[in-house]
Amino acid sequence: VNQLRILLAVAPRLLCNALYNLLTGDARFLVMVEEPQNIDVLLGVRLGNVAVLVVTFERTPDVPPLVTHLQSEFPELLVVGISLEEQCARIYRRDQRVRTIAEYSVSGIIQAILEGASLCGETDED
Amino acid sequence: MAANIRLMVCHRNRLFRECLILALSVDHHIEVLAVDDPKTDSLGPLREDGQDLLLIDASLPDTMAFRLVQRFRTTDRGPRTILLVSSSTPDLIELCLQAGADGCVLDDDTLDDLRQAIDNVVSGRSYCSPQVAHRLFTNISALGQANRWTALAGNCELTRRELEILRMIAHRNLSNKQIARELRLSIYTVKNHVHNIIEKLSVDHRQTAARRAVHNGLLSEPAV
Repeated sequence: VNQLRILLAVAPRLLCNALYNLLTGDARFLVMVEEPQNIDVLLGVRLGNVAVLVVTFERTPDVPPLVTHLQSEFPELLVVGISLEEQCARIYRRDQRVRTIAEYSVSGIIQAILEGASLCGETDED
Repeated sequence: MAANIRLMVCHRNRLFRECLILALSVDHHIEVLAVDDPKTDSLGPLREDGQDLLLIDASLPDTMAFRLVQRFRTTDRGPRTILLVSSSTPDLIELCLQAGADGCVLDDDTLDDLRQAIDNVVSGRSYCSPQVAHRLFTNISALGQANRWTALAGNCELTRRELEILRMIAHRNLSNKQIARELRLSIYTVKNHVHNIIEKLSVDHRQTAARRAVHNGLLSEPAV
């Protein structure tokens, strides 16, 4: 089974730990963790052959500079940006406009990951 | 360890709340009873339901966290409380503990820290995460030093001349020789004054005396 390689760069740590536990419980995912600092995320994506990046932003402007930079280097990378402050999550794909995930929840984010990755040809949705 | 811990999570952020509930539900001895919307006043049945534990987001609006803690603190059979404090608002830690929380965990702690807190508190003990304890120790230490210095400065009875020299060291970093020249004193007299300043303030160096004097406002009033 091809596992979807996900990089978690989420703060605070308690949320990151909890998300990690939840995602690693799903056999479809292979989850890695990095500190949510730009340089760590950049290296994590480069070295980890990552398909999906889940990252927290203080606020989510249209396209954060980190996302622009990463997607210029990795056009297929799917980025899920979470803003705790705004209580929303957004999907960033290079070939599409920014999309807000309808349901700000664990299931909403997992579904968005699977749908986005499926569009990128990373996984089949069963 | 309790065989079955019943837990209610009150967190204003839906995603955070869900993640905690789902992650903790995996533990066989923790039963998460409900996803509560802390905006509503739906906590009334808690005591009757015999909840074991409330995990409360300390930054709930309108000081709800403190009110909840105080509310259940007054009852023997009420649920015990752990407050979850954001690392971006560490000033809430002391308030939380003053309110009577049984435990305090930082959102930058690990999930294992939280599990440890839950086990401790349900077993009737208190819990303070290492990060929270470190902050508390640092705050108490700083407070103690400030108090000690204030008392010391109040009792040290520096003379007018000593204050004048201390000010010259602190504000202009003058040497003994320069001070002696400016005040038209012998260098031995100045050395004697500096020695007395160091003795009276119980420090080991003139610069330390100067820094602390400035920091604690000892030199804020001009010598008359």
